Amino acid sequence: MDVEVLPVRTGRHTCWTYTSAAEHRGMLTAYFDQGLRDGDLLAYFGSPPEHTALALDSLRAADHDPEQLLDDGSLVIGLADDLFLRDGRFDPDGAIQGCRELVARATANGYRGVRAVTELSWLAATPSHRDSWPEFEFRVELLTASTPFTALCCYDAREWEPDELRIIHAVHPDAPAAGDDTTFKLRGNIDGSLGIEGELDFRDADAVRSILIAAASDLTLPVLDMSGLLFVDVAAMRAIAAVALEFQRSFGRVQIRGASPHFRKVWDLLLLHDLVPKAEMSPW
Amino acid sequence: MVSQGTGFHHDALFYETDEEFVSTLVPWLLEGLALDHGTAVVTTASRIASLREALGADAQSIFFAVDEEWYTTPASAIARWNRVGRRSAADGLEYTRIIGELPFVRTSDEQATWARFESAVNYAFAGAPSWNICPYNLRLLPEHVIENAWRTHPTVWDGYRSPSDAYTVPSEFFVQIPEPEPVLGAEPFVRMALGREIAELRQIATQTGERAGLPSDRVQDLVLAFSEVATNAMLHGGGITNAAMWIDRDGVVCEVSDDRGDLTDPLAGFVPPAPEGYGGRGLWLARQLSKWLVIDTDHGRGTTIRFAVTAD
Repeated sequence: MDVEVLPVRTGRHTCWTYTSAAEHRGMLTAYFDQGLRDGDLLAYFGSPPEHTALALDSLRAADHDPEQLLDDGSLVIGLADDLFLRDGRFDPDGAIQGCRELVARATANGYRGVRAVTELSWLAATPSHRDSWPEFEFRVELLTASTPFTALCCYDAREWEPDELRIIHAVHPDAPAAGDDTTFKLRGNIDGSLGIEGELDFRDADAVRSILIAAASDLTLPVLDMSGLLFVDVAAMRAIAAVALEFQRSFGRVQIRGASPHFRKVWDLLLLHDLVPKAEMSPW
Repeated sequence: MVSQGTGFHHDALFYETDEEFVSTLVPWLLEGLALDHGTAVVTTASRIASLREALGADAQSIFFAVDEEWYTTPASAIARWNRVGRRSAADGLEYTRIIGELPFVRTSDEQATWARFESAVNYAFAGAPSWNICPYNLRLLPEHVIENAWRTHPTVWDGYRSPSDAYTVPSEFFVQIPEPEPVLGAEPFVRMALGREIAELRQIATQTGERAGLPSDRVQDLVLAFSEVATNAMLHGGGITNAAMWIDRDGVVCEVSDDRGDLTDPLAGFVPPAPEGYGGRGLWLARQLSKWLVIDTDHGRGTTIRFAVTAD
């Protein structure tokens, strides 16, 4: 049965949820085809092995020769285990470093950058990795903001709970996908700042705190950008303050940029300037 | 003059003339400065000027603010006094002396509101290292305002402290003197369907605030206050059983109910939260953003919180 895959605008870090193999293959076909036209090195990481066959089929569907691409190094196929695990344990630092090395290799060899696809079914069987996965996804978001690394993260919607996918969508700020009902987004900006956009409240405050604090080690700039934040409640404001405090500890300072007058009013009412005394509020 | 350097004190001072006001309080202020106490005075502009003249150069060490600018709402006044105390502590001063004279208000509703404020001070600052003196002008103020001063201050001071036999604990005072609420129409402007997501409820609150003609910053205050009260009902009240809004000539009145009825303290949200602690901030913030907020618990039948956000 043919499945019509509607054109989906992809950004540098896109979440793609699918409910059938045909949907998955259709997306991969379009994504890889665009990457080859852009001059990117293609990379696919997935498990179990039959998913990698899907990647090769998707290239054939666009009239590309995957064997040739593998031979000339334009296509890298790997197992998710190889990229994400070390001695059977999730190694986020190793995975990020592996991606950086792949980008360096690609650009040294004349490619524009790397266009990667990761298929996340393997996470479904590993609850411990699943819980911290959004933190890793946001570190990938920061990587795509600062390097020529484009990532498509594929999730079989049948294997994930709606609340899990909501948080995962939130850390993929580009190209909202079907089924994305999150009210907020976390973004890595090109200038190295972290952006919080949309409406953030008690439902996701703890998750946002964990995600942003986990990303602190990848930052070069202790700047939280609130210019896209439309609503924040007390729980979320305190989560932001906790992140700011962590940045203050790591960098000795923190800048909260683009905070609206209302944000600053609430920050003041909650006495958060006492909690984070070196937080500098600045306009955009 | 008895010097006090420990414990929380909330004294009423009854006076008749400005000369008596100055002659009673200046030595107290000077004593505080000599003891390295933080000192703050809120009263009328003219009495501030009289105090400054009597204090001379010592006035520079005292924080002054005009009553009508300080006492805008009870909750915000508590927040301001809290900052005074925190500033004293940050400056290394272990004790704070405060003179806080309420502005003269004409209507019985306003008088009731500010009497409740005085009562709430006992609750909000219990144990705080501060000596608070609240002057009341016997010639100017109506008898019932003076009576309420005796009921809301545990002690009376005129150079010497004596207990107030009429003192009423805040929880009882709040029942005896309810918050003056506007009479609402039988039908609200909007009654929100149950089971909606909190983001949807906020959208409705935004639309209601805009329809009421509130300035944009007050619409944001309304939405946030409503979100906090609704969140409270969801997380601690077993869920929202009723959420409605009325538009009146002053702004928007909101009502949120749950059916658990666990929130039995009518003064919840008056205690200033410590910035580093957890919990208890939603109601604090809702009180800060609203003109008034009432907690109504019918034991076994649920809690209803009503509050108003006005244009000013």
